[in-house]
Amino acid sequence: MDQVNPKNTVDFPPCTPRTLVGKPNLMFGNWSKKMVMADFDDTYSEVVKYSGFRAMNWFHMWGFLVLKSSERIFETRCKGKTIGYKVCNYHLVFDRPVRWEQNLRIINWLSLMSGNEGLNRYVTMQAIKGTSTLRIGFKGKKSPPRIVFKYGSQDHQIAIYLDVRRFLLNGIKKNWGISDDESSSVGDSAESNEK
Amino acid sequence: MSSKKKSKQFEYVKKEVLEGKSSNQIQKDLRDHNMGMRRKVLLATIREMKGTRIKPDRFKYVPLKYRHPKSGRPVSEERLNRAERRIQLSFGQKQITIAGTVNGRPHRIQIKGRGRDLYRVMGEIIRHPPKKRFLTTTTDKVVGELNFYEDWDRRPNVNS
Repeated sequence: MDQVNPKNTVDFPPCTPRTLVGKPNLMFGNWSKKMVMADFDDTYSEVVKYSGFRAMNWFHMWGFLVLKSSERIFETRCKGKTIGYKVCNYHLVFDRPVRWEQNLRIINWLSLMSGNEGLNRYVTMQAIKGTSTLRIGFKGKKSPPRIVFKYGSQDHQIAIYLDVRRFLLNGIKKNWGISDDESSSVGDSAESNEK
Repeated sequence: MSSKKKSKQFEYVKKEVLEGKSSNQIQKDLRDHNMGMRRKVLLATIREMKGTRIKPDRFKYVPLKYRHPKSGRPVSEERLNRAERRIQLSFGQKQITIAGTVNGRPHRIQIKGRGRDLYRVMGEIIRHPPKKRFLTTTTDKVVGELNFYEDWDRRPNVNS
């Protein structure tokens, strides 16, 4: 089993940084037809890893990468007590490049096998759109997905994914979208507050 | 260096080789007794005493980034291809999606291009949404397909 390479991980604060507040509310991601990507909602990491291993063995996918996108806490009442349990959203990326038809086949197989509702919705949306996409940057208060687990070969499609990821996160760090108009408007509001 | 000191050195090295010490340990002991040797010479003497030869594929184990291009045997094709692929990736094409809302309606752009061109174009795309709601283009054509009379919806001005 491979360990996570710290070079590919980029640390961000858990909520949206101050620099992005008041900026265009945009979501950055990676799209492709060759890359097999899946989005698991409200599951545990074991489920994602298990389905990744099964798909890898069944379709000869060489290797895969698991990223954790966000967390969610559910609260239930049982005998007058409130019990909370945590579930997470995960992204799954495979290494072997495939044709779009094969890609759809694999994602649909995964959604049927795992029985994940979120993945089912994701698959239908990708089929309508004609390409598969995954989020890389911020989404509201959600921080960018971070690498949790990787297995097998990482030299082909996963390398491309990580390359795009590094490109976008570096761009977000450098504050894309700061124009002269915006900086002036922010300055004006600050002055008005002081007065 | 005097011949007496040389013979002393060789005796010392022979004794330590028989004990099974490594070259670094021997060098350390030699330096403690003010008899340090040049590493190249030390390794040659140890090889003579042990009766071993230089490993034929020793350059194979040196990482690519530390290796001199003209030294040693040529690298295997597989390793070269892997290294080339990594270099190509850094200059290759990237596919990026940008999704947002304009007056509450979702818009999305899918762009394909090299990293340098993407950096150049990204400043414009972030300010203005596309004319079509869902667009897939390359970096050359994207600027002509932007709506310069509209802006993306902003993030709420709340710090949590």
